[in-house]
Amino acid sequence: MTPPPGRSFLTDALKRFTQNRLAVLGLILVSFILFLAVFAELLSPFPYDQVYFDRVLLMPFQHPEHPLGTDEVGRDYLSRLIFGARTSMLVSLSVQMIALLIGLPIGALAGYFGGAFDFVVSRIIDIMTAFPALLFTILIISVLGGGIPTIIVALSITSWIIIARITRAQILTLREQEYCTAARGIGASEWRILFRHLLPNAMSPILIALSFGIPTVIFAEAGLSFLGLGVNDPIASWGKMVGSSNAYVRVYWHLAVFPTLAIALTMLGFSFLGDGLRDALDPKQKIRV
Amino acid sequence: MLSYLLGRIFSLAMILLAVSVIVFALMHSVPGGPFDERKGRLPPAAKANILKKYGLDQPVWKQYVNYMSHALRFDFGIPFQRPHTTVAKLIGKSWAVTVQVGLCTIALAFTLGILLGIYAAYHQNSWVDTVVTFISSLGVTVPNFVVAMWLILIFSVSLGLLPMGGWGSSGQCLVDRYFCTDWILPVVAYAIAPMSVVARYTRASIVEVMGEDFVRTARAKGLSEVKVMRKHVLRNAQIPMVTALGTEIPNLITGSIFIESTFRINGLGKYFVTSTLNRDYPMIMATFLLVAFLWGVLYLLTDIAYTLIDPRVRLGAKSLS
Amino acid sequence: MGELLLEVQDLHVHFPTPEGRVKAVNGISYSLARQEILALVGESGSGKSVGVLSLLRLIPSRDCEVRGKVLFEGQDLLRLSEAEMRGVRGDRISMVFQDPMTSLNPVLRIGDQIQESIMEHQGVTERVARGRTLELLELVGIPEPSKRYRHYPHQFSGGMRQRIMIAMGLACEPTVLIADEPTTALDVTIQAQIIDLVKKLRKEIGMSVIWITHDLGIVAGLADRVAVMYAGKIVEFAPVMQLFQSPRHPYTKGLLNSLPRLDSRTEEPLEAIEGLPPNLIDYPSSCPFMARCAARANVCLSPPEMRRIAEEHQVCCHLAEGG
Repeated sequence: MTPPPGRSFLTDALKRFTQNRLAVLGLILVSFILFLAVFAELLSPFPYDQVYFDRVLLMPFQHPEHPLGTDEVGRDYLSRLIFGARTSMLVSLSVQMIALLIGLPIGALAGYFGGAFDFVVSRIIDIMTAFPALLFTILIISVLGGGIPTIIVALSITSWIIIARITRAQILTLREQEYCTAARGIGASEWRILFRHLLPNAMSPILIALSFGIPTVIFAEAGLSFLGLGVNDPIASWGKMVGSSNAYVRVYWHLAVFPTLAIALTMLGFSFLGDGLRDALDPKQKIRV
Repeated sequence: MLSYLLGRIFSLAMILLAVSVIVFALMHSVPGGPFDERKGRLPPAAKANILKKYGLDQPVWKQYVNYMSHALRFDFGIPFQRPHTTVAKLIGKSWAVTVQVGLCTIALAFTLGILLGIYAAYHQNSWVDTVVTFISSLGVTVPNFVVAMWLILIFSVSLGLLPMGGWGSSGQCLVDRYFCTDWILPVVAYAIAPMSVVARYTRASIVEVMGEDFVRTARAKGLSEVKVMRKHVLRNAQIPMVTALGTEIPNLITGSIFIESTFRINGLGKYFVTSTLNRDYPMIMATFLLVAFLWGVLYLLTDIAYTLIDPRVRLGAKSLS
Repeated sequence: MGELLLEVQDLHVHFPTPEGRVKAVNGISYSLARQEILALVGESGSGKSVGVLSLLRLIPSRDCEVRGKVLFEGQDLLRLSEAEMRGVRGDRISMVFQDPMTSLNPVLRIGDQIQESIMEHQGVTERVARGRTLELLELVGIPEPSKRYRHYPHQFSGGMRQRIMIAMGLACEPTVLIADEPTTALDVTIQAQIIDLVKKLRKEIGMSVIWITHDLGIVAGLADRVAVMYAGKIVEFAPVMQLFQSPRHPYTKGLLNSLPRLDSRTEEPLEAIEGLPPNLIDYPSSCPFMARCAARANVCLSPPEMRRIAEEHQVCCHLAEGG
């Protein structure tokens, strides 16, 4: 059981989190990436889509203005990396936000009121977990076309399922607890019980699922763009940068090295952060995501 | 047991039906078909002819009923991209490649993962344990196409040891066209993530079992450490390990789109991507049905495997989470 | 008292932990004669289980430090090699654990679990071991042994599982059987059956028993001698009747007073011992019981030694008087 969130629980959780070195490292990495994403215009030396036809495929440090070199059409690689952080963060954070906004109420209502609505939600969950989410995402993108909004929609369609499933499971176990019966005994309304008593107690696992969902979405966006199904030119995406480097990698290794490092570090940052959150919020490790 | 199995098979059939409806509806939900881009070149009569050939001139529900009645007889139609073959043949051919990749990956990931997991568990907190834990947390986090690029950079570009791509087409092979040098990088890149998962699960479950009372009982009988491990610890640690197997094998056997795309392997995943790009409805449909079917069957097999390992589990009596 | 079989001398068991050294057992000495039943009594955390687990070296040595001597048939068990020690475990000294629910391997048939001990130590074939296993199941009172032999632990009740644990302990006809709270997890009626079974088997097989319990009530009808443990030390050691009739250590008195008695008037409240046992990391330099002792005096600030106050009665208290 997760103890109800309260001052002492949160202070304890914060203490466990700050004592976890990997979690703090994750937080630093994530903050750095977010910083790059927010201030991309200020930080990058060139606009991400500025093309220099005379500076195609420069190696790192070959030209003083392009420390990380340029890509196959002559765009500054450092600038594209920084703007890639924005794409990655924009997609992953919006998707998780939408997943929460859709998944939480649906899961909570299904778990609390049961009945036909729960039956329908459970069957949707069954169907959506019967094949890899990636296949479905690709299908939706093929129908809707590429671009950042489409990717966000396509990934949200598969991501809310996880939040709904966890919320539903949490509410199902929590509503059998004594304090719930007690609240009903003193005449609290069903909605009040759901919002005041159950949802706050269900938040820890949902928060953990959300934090693990972010690297999953980063992976998905990078992967789709890697396959050429993601963002459209000239928007910068790490995945797309890796994908288009494939043809040049024999000589221009930097095209592959920097974006892969960016993807790996970002995902590591988020998963350390997620591990740290889980250890802090769920010290008994009851929740499996 | 039998009624449980029948129930599971029924629900699998229902899920396949639902998947087919959803996919079919999605594919037909937007205006424009696979032959629209050729509109300029095709005279209207020829286009009507093609649409008729593929049954695309009929109402959507009729197309669906038509499709499903053929699909039940394992006739999945003709791929739009390759009019001279059938979907069943094309999927059979590409899936055979995917299965080869998958089986090699399973073999590598599971033997290495289990061995590393056992070793790390048995030498808890040693430097080997730390290294295994570190590598496996990298392995589950870093996407496989990133690992693939790194392997290519190191072994193909820098060292020039291994081919950058292909599957039995660009390397030297051990037996006929099997076990070729161009198999190594894709399999390794693909295996790292599941290997990490397996190593983590194995280590965690062995550590947990080693703390159980019955292991102390076994030691109190005077059994040697090897016997305690083999008969008492590993037998019980298998139970959570099956969970890892059960979730990883369906993934591996249906292939990785990224690995196939990076190493230019003509497997199922690669055809799926080209099919969606070309709106190749019959191919997309058949791929979805195949994957959902395989997942359903493999998950069912995993649940059956539990009953073989753990005498306490009775199928249907208690739900497995 | 019969021939001396096992002698524990000044046994210490300490666990290094990040918070400090946990001094679980602090210099206990006792002896066990052939066919004797010795009870080790104490509350949880008094070091009684750790004390016997370390006799068989069942606590991994990397986790703890063990000092002292455990003389068994002329050998010091703490000095044996790991292979020699395995030859003793389960063969000449065997152990029955507290919780029969978790101490049996859930995925192995109970017959296999009993006979593996026989095959390990006697080097007999599986068929011979199986015959012996059926006899053992019969002996501990499992009905239909030849059928039950093939069953898994979860198919037995708690009492039956503890009988299986005992059969496992008896498999090689040990000289010493160590029973670590074998009846704590069981119902009272089953408890009595298990106690009767052990008493009967002691005579039939001719073994000695070390019985660990926190329940003095069990001890009266079972043990020959009793050692009362507190904070990793034996505070009183006496034949069972003597201990019950004239307890000398304030802790023993407290334990006896907290037992409900059939002959007492119901209005009399049961006495509880005030306070908690000392912290085993910050072990007190005084008598460890001092803080909870009603009779404490200045002399208790120095640690008491074990003293012999009657021929077979030892007590570890400055204030206890002889006779």
